[in-house]
Amino acid sequence: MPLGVALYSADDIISNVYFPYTGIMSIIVGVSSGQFVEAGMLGRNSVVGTGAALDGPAALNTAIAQVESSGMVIDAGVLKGLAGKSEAMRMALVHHERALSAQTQQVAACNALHELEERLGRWLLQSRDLLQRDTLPLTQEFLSQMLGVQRSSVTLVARKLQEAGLIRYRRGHIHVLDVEGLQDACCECYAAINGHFTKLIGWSPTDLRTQQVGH
Amino acid sequence: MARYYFHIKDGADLIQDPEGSELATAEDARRQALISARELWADAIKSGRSLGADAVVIADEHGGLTFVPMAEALPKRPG
Repeated sequence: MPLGVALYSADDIISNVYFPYTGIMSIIVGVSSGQFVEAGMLGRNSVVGTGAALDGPAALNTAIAQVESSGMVIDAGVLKGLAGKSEAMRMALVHHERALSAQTQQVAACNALHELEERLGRWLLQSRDLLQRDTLPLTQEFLSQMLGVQRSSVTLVARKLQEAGLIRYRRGHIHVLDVEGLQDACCECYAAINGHFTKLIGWSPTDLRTQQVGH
Repeated sequence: MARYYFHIKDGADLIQDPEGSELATAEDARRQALISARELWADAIKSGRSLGADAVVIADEHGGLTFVPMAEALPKRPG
């Protein structure tokens, strides 16, 4: 099992839908060898477990709360009832589900085609947006789990980013020092994921850093 | 269980593993070092960049060091 608290696991019946206020919720996919990789991450002003309110309660993947997280929870059946009565509610949930779907598709391409350095850069920028701070309480072990690589690979790549002055790594904490530099070092997937959010929901996780939107 | 650190030796540099991993035996640590070395090779070959490592150095909690040269992780040649 990865670090973090599972909100639901593949094949569970999802009884609650989560609306995170803080923290990072990761959608992860495991394989029979025991390895897993993150397929997408959600946080503030997003919805986790949307499928249970739009369709059926069977979980198709696993969602875990990374770092310390807080949020609101609603009974999946109650939310499904509301979505059945309100077109606006239903469409809002559809937009969130599509934004997650677009993110996981982008991440699939990123994992298959981009180098670890770019993927790590993308991942750190996404996490920074969701946590709304430059100091990320993340271990290299956790990073390696989320990116589906060995920890030594993260050690090497983190050193490269550190030598370039983009991050500083201390045991259990990563400080983002140069956001623009990190954006240049990462692939286009960070901007693409934010673009999908903006198209579907009207704001992206990056916007959340500076303004109150989407309530 | 014991904690093993997987430092990476790159020429005169030693890139420290600040966290370490809990593993049952020294043999598990060696197996882990070889898996890590294989991935470092794979990334270097795929990206066309330099390897950036010549050994994975396993450090145990008592300060004991085991050098696992990167070459040990390469597949054996046929015949």
